[in-house]
Amino acid sequence: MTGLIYSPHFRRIEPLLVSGTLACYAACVLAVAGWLRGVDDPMVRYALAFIVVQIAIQAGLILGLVVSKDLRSRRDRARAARRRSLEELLARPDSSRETLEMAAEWPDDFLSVVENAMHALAGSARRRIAELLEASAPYRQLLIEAAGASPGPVIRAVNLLGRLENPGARAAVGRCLKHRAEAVRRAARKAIVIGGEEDARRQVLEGVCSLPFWERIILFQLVPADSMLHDFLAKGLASDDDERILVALEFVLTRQRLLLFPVPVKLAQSRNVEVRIKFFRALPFLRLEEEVDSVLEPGLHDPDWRVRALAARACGYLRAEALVWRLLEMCASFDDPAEAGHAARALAALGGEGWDRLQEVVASGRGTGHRIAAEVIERRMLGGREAPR
Amino acid sequence: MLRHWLVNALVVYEYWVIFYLFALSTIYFILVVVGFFEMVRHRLTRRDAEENSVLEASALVSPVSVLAPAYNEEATIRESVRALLMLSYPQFEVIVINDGSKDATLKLLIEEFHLYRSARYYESTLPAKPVRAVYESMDPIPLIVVDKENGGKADALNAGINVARYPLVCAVDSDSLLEPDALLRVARPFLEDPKRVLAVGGIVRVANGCATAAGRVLSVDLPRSWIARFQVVEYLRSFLGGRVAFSAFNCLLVISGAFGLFSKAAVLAVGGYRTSTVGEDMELIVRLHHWARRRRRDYRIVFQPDPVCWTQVPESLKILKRQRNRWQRGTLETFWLHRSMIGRPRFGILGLFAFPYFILFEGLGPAVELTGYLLTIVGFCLHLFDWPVALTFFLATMLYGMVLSVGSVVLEELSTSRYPHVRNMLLLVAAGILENLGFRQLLTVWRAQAFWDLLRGKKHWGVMERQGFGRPVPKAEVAKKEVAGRV
Repeated sequence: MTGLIYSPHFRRIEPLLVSGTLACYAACVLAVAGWLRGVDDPMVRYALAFIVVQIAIQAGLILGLVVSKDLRSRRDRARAARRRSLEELLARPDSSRETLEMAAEWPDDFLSVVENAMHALAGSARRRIAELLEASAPYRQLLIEAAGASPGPVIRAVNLLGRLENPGARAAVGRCLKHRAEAVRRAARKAIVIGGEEDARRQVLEGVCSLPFWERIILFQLVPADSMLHDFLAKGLASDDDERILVALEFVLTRQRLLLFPVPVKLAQSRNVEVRIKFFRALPFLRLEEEVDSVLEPGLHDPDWRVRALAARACGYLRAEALVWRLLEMCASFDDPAEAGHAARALAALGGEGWDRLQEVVASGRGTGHRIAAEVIERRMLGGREAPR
Repeated sequence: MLRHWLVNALVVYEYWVIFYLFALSTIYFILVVVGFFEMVRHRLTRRDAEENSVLEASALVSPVSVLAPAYNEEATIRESVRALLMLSYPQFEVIVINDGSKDATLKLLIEEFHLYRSARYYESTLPAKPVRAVYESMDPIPLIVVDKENGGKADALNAGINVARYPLVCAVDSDSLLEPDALLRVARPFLEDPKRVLAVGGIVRVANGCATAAGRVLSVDLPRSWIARFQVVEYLRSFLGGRVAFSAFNCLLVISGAFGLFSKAAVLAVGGYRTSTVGEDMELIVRLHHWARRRRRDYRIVFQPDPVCWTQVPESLKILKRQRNRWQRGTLETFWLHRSMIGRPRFGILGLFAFPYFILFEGLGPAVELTGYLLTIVGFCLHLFDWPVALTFFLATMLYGMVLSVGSVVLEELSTSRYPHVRNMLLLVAAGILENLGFRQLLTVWRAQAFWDLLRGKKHWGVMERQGFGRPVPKAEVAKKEVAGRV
């Protein structure tokens, strides 16, 4: 059943499930109507059968609801108590034997506590928990589950095994990249980018371009900054494939950390407007091969207003004082509020001449640009929040 | 001869009403069953909690402008705004639109959040009543307050959209509380399918009876009044049964005005909220459908069952009557405005199923049901009906409704299981059964009355009285609950 629910064809199967439920319902009414043959009027007979089925369903639902709620509450209370005991045992350094005994008795609770601990702890404490897990009976069960077909248990196994450093666990997670359920493959990708084998990590990073945007940004947040990532970004930004360039720039934007290698400036003049937009947005975090002004100036004259706006913003961050004249033009000409806003904020950020010019725009009282400039000055003087990222 | 003819007509009509109620309940039944499978799938396949904490740190998640129109909300405004400011989301701004309040709403906001009159620039892209002033906070909080002349909720939302700077706009009621991760959860479909998703709605739950503090619901409980308890079941049925199912078939016609996230570009493209209707939330969604289908655009309007918005429901019959009257008039106005979509294959499942369903059962339902009740009384007075037979059919219809109500409580337990005690379940089940014995009929009368009011040209909203949030929690208890991680 869980396999069916995880299936990408669920939407097509769902009407069949609903029809099946309705058919069962109708069959029940017909069966009860057959049992009520003594009632002469067929309309009344079916109405009575309907009532009997309704009452039976109602009673079943209420009973199921109340009993399951009661059982669930008791089970949750008992589980919480066991987990507390396990947490206390894990916190004590001399409790390995008792912990392993309890793990064998309550594997689910043990795994849940271990999962939380692995998430929260680091260093030697984390290593100790990992060793305990590897020595426990549920660990063997996890390895078996990871090779299973039902997505739910496999995902749980992947989440735990992915946090271990032993080759057996890593290999089990690696195999999950080929699982038929997308949810499992996704969990495996996450586990691998956090701390998988080098080959597996490389494989995941190579395939990152084909993943949906939201999954990419989750992976970007998880991947550690190391030499493999460095290579991946360097190759991506130097490639001629716009898709790879965009993914690399998305990564820079997600992490917002300065790149340590120079980035080709040709990206500023890419034919693909999306590349230009993301390049100028990420510019404060890029090391360039050339003078920054020579990259920014064409951006400030770009035919697309979004590129111009983001180039203007970058001027503020990168203190491109030589471009004050162009920022002033953009602020005063007011082609687009976002563009003028970014230009005005950049002028304010530059200080000195930029700030003076911005005040002149306000004092001029002409056009709409002066209203935007007034807003920016007001926020600066009140120490307000910075412009949108 | 005439009497014979009248009697026959009466009996035929009575059977038609029974058939009608049976068909309505069957459709509800199908919706609840679809809801069941959807909820099971949602519960099993979603692992949002861990991913949300990752997404919360990402600069690539689209920023959101949260719009909260406020009219005479002095009882709840501070708590609501505080709750909005505490949302977990990478980047957002809260825009409170004071729609010409006559009470101290604006004064309270200015004092509480240290507002100053700002020079914020905006363009009046959507038509709205004149803005008197825009305020921003001296504190490092993303709060903007727009003070404008009174023009109604739709007008206030349009003014808010004009001032908003982010690509997604989230409309919320200022007397509601959003859960901290609600915005991240409701924005998830926009992240997953940014090109197609136009709007996303979250679930609205009843806050009466819940313990609240500092703009958060600390512990969930049922209200003490039965009127509010009936509404808890109603909300569960409507959201977890109906909307989940309609969303699965991309024919969702309503996203609650209390909590909905929209693509600003799409809202601007359709001209914003319509100010001439009292059902502006439904009308906007229908217009988005209309607009997208006319352009043969591949799009989605989605309902998400896990982003939660807590709201106060009326506990007095007088206020409830006004609210339901307004909702019904809004629904009927929307149908009338978009009648060209009915039965048109060009509009797909929307024109062929969702719209006819809403008109037949939600729009005209009260009139049919009410005439059915009246004719039954007439029939009994004139000795035209056989008592046992009529009672059997009445019981069959009634039980159908009860099963659906209990079914929606099961859906709640299956999906989020917010009510912690067995006692809560028993009370909800009791409310699900009892609401069919008087409350539902009362709503039918009010909704039928709304039909009449609409024909008479009634346009106004009616006054809603705010009472503040649930029961307050002592500070010591708040601290205890925060430590226990239940907040």
